[in-house]
Amino acid sequence: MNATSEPPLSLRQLYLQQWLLLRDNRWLMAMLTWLPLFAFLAVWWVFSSGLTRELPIAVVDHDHSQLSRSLISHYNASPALKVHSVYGEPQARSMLRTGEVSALIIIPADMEKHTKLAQTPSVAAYYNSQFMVIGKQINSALQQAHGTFSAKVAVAKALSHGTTQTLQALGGAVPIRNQISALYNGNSNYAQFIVSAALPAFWQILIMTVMILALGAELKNNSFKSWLAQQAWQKLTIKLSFFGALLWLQGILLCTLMFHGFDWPMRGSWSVLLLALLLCVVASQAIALIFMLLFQNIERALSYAAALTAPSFAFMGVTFPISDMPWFAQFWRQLIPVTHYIEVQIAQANYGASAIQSVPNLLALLVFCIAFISAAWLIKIRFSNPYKMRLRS
Amino acid sequence: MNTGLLFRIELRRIMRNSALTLTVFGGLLLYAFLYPQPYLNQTPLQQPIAVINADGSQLSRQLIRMVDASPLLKVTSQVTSIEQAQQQLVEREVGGLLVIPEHFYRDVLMGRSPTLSYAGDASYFLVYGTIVQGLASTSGTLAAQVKVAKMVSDGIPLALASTLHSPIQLNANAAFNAHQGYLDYVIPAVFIVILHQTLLIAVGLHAAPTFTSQSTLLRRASPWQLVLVRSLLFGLIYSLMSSFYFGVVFSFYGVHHWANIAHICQLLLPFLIATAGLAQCIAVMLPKRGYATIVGLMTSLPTVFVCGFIWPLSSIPPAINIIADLIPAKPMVLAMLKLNQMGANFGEIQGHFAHLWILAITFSSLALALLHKQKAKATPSLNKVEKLL
Repeated sequence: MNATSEPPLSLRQLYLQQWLLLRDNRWLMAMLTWLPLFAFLAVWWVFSSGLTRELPIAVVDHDHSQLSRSLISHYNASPALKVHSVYGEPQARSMLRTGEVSALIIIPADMEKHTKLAQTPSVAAYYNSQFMVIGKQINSALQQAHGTFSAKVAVAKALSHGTTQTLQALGGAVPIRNQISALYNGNSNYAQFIVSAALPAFWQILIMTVMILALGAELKNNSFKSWLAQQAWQKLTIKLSFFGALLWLQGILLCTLMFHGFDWPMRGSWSVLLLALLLCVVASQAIALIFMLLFQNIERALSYAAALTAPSFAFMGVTFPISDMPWFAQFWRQLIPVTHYIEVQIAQANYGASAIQSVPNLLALLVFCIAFISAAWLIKIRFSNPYKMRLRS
Repeated sequence: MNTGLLFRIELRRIMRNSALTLTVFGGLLLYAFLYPQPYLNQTPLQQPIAVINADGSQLSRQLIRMVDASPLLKVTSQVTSIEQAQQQLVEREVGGLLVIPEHFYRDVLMGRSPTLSYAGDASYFLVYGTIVQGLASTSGTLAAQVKVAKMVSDGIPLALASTLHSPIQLNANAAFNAHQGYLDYVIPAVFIVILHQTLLIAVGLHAAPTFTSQSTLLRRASPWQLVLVRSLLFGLIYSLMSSFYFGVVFSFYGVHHWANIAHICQLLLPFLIATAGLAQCIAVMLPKRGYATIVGLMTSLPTVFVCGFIWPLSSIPPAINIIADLIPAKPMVLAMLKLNQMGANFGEIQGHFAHLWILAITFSSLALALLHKQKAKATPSLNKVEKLL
């Protein structure tokens, strides 16, 4: 009976309680202040070079001709590649196996002779695609360097065979030219691509953890009974809004850092983005709340939150396209709030999409928020009147 | 306390700790299933693109048919303006566009080398790469056909002409992950990080100082016994879980096996000791045992990024690389990728092997020192309690 005999707390007192909780818990304080900033900058720092340059490749030259030397210097001229001349093939293969070089190129003997005789020699290249980003980059750099080199050789040949016009010779050598553009990330900056998705994924983990800890502070004997016996609605609302506001602020800081600090383009509407951030906070809070009320145990709630959020980066569909995911992955990603947020962020920041185009994703986040209110309502029934519960059971 | 008895006590504590068993057995089973889900199809195929055909000739129609026939691409719409194509890009209906310029056919015939423009949405690198690759190879094929046709019309026999169209060929092959599957790229490395992170959490859940049985144990057993028994126990449990991952799960997803089992075990030994050691150091500093999960969860994404398989180590700032060298997952990922995925022999990964042993020795000694300190701090108060009793 003593739970009901306590006088109800005013809203101000309830807020004050949250502040005291934050002040006295070093981990909560860290997670709401310096830790995310530190982590955001560290993750960005890893990718800060943005572009991979001078990836080492091994070239084994069996020809030792002027032509082969010219080909090697063409490879070396590519900003993405850096040639290591290696004498023997076994050594070069070992360098490839140990990752010392990312590709191995073998120039055949008599390449120059065969070229002059129009016998089309073939240069073999093996690029390491276990490290896929690097492998793809090397492959395209090689193709490009080789393309220009081939064209030059063909033009020189045509000119020496009596074609007088360079343009005509070029037309024969390169009948179709290509112009490639990378939209929405003009210089193919890998940092912008991966960090702008990784940071929200990290932030979502943070939201869940903060909320589980903040709710966990109210557990007495592994139960919320005494805490929620009175003023359940007010207490929950105040706690969620107090920490939610701080987390939202953190999200805003995150976006400010990305779009002003790192100077990545932001072409869309900030208000849509801020709304998406807010909904993402509430949606993640909802999940944390449901886990906590269900298990009434910090460790267990954290385990389930980990299971849901730790792989969320994989499910975002940024590194691997959603359309190529099997149905289960497509279904599972719907359950993770940040996958909906990231769609809004990409649409707004990269495409400068209209607010209407982001509505479906905002709605999905809103569904999570509604789920949160319903869950809280169910919980209220469970906790608000412990005596009734006991009678029923 | 005798070490055998401590071993049994610790084993019982591990088995009774439901949060721990849930993380180790449940977590590892779940991740083995869940994490590869998005990548099961390995490579993105049939990426939708829009075509703007300003030429309308037979050759341009042939090009569009060729693009559509490429396994990487699918022409889903033909539009008349860049704006329309861009609209479809924003709505994610297509991932790229191809522009065939006016007078394309005439310019090709006259040897003026017209320019095909194509673009992809670089918000999604893999999609972008696939589209660019598909369009570049199709355009290359068409160019070769044009050249051959020209040579044939100049009187060169077709069989000869088809080998002559390029003066020097480049025969580029993907080594190792030969079909360039995303699963084969991510799984071998990420699974090591998953083992690493769950081990950190598990030890933290077991050995956090505020746990009541921890203080009792600390009073009865000496720190070296605790470090030894815990490294042994978690090492045993995790060699079981690692065999499950590297054996059963790798085989299930068809991930390549180059290394022999003995070499993998040889590598696992220092890795597990080092990770268990690091975890015991972290555990000493935890205020409550649940916090181990937080540490494991928060460090997982950064750990994946610094292991050198997503972003080349040479492009990562040196300061980060130095800090990352303290994480056992990094040398283990690099060693395992080279040994098991890239066919390196054990001699070629000696550096990583030595690195793991150094970490194993360092973290075990550090854990020992920290436990000594914790014991010294705890003993006086415990003595007081005993006196009172």
